[in-house]
Amino acid sequence: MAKTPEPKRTISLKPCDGDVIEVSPMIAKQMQTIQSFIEDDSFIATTTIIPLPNVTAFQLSKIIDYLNYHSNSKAVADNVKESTKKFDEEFLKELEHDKLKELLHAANYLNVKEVLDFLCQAVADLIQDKSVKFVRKFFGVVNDYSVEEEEDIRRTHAWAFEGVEED
Amino acid sequence: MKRQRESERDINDIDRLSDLPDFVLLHIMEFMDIKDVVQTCILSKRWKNLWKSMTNLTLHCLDDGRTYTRVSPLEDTDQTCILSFSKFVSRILSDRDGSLHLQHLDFAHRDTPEITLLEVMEYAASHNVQQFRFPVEFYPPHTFELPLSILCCRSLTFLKLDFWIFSSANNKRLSNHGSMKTQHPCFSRLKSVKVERGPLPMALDDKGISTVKYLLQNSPLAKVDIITCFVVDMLALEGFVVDMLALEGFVVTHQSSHELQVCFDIL
Repeated sequence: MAKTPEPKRTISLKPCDGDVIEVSPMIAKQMQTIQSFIEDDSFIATTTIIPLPNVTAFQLSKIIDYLNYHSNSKAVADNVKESTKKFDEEFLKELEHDKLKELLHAANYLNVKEVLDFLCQAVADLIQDKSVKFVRKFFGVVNDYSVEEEEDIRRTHAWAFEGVEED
Repeated sequence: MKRQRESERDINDIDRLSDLPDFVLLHIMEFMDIKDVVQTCILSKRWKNLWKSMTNLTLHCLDDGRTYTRVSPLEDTDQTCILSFSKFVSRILSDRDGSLHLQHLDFAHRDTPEITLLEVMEYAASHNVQQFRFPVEFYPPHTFELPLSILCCRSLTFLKLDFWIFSSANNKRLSNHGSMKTQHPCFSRLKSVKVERGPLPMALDDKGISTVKYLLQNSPLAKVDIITCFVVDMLALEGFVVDMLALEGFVVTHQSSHELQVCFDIL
């Protein structure tokens, strides 16, 4: 759905599965991939709609939410930490594992550092102290080691596996 | 990256997720404990060597906060932990892909064997480290001399040294470095110096000031901000920042990537 042709300052982003989403240039700027679109000579802010074939509307709006919240919260000094923490927790709570990873893909594709850092930290927290089985499942890794190979890895990396129980 | 999962091809939900690019996986690793990072080698063949490509390393021993509890002898169990951590660090450095530069190395430790400290520093310098945090503590107090490789490291833009090193009369090595220093200006990329108070009230003496001046003259420093500087037992160090760092317990902390805080800190 193209917006009205009246002069606008927002950037139009078209996710793969939904309507165009308008974002402020300040938010768009934080997405390096969008930024390079904007810097391109052929880009006309008023008419160009940037297609994002690798990003769903859900992912895009989550990322925009995150950026919006964090850029606004920077302006208010009081109790920022507390409320930011709460926002971040809520943000993650709504994401199932698969969604989280898909969002990671999207953040990586859009190259938006703040969100990427945040999600990578979230994944690191999530898999911390988890079993190999859990981590494999989380990343969708298929164990392609043979039993002997896996034992061999454990043996040659025994220095890193001290105190770790096998599954 | 090539993966072998012929027979598992048809298993659902595998491809897309394990297709997170190496860059992202490595970035996740940067937020993990280094021991857990190395353990990812067990996941699959793709992961076997993945961690070795990390360019940002955080190596912390005693992560429960005891690292910085100062002036207390260690428990026996801690000693064991420290020794095994030193070995662990050596393994990390030798197993890591040495063809890749280090961007960021954060090494927090206490009572590290000197040989490990030197190994880490030499490794950092020879792998063109850009940002280097190195808070280390010793008990009982003794001195540690920074290797020239770090002091002359041209890639370094950000340095945090947090040595709790204690005054020493050992100034024999001072003269040895004099000539080398003129050839290899220290900290050639750092942009500013901040001198701050240490824990004990001592006045900044003339020599301390001249040392700071030297640092200024020999590095492209944009500014110097002297707050308070406490120096004990200044040796004849004019112009020898290197050795003062090593012998006087010079604490260098950062503010931002191009700012260096220098504290003279003697116990």
